[in-house]
Formats: sequence, C-alpha cells, structure tokens
Amino acid sequence: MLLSVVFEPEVLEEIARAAAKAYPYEGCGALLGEARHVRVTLPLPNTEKGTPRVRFEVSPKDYLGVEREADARGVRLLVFWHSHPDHPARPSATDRAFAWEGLLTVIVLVERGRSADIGAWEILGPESPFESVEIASPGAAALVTPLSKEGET
Amino acid sequence: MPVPVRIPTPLRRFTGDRAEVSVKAADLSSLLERLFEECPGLRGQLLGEDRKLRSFVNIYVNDEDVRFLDGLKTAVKDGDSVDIVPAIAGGGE
Repeated sequence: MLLSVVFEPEVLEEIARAAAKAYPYEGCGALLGEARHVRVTLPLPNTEKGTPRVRFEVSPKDYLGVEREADARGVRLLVFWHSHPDHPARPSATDRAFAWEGLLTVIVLVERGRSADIGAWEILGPESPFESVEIASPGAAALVTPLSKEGET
Repeated sequence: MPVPVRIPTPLRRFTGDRAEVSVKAADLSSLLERLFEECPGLRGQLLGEDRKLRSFVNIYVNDEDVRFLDGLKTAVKDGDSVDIVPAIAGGGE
C-alpha cells in the first residue's frame, strides 16, 4: 500500500530550520492540518533531560497545548516530528515503541548542523512495523529525499 | 454530574471521533470502567493485562498526573476534568 502525506512547502522549511537550530540536540514539534495535508507547524521544546542528543520527549503539558491549539484553529493533530543529529532519518526501536496509530512520525536527519534528509513513517496496527510514507510537497524538493527502505534501524 | 474526559487525537477512533466523553463516576477506576462501557476499544489502549495504566499513557485530573495522586483510586467529583495524554518520545537511539 502506498501511503502519502502532503506538506506545504513552508512547513518543510520551518521543520528544517528548527531541526538545524536544535543541533547537536534533537529538535521536535507538532504538525497540524487536515486529511493528511500538513499546514501548520508548532515547534516544541525537547524536554528530555538525560540524553537530548539521541532522545526527545514532549511534555504532557506541551502535548495538551498542541491539542488545544488544534481545536482552536479547527484543524487536526497529524504528526510529531523530531530530528536525528548525524543519524539517518529512519525510525529507531525507541521511535517504534512510542509510535501511536493515527499519528505520523516524521524524522529529519541533521548532518553537521544542516538538515539533509527527511522521512515520514506510520504504523497501521498496534503490533505493526513502521511503514514508509511518501512526502509530497511541490516546490520544496530540496530537503525531501524520499527513502526507499522500510523498517527500523 | 458527569466528568468530562478529554480524548487525545490518536484515540478518537475509539470514541466515534469525539474529543470529549463525559461519564459519571466517583473515582478514576470507575470512571474508566464507564468510559470502556461506552467505548470498548479504549480499554486495551489505556490498561495493560495487569489492569494497570500502561506506561505509554498518562492521565491527568485537573492538570495533575494521577501517578502523583492516588493512581486509579484518585477521586473525581463535579467540576473536575480528566485528560488522557499519550507519551510522545523517541529518538535516534
């Protein structure tokens, strides 16, 4: 099954900028929109205290703020993204453990401070592996290098 | 008076896409049972086989994590609000 999601070009640009800014730590944020079309970015602090270079965490209070913002804007929470500093834009076992059906996982590779690749992933069942999701974003191909492989690293 | 329970986006497929479900209960345990009667699919999402709250799920009563209150025995009353919050985390390792 071919899965896809549409990103407005400025959304990709904002994610790339935020991910690069967070380097060498992982950056993160929420993406809102409707019907698999992302229109709004909400940058969030990485509240992981121990190892923020290789882990991220969104605090429950920030999560609730995202839901409230989505309701206020009349859109839906679609994605949580995070960056992998100097690590491929593919999901780890930790990413899979925290994945929720119905929310896409987007990962940005930041290489030596520059956002270099992006991948989108989704689980289709509680025990399912990640499926690769194609990101469509006309006019913003610079960052988008769709990955051909599926699965976890 | 029923207590409103806020349902997070990834669990709304179990509530007919409702963002809030209100149920009558005196404590969190009975509140969840009423919630599961109305939305059976939520049980496996919120509780493990040991009937304890799953580690990837947080429940807040009036903005307080119930793990720091009385857990599933936390009392609820008129005017309270309950939020179900999925844990969002991950990373390269």
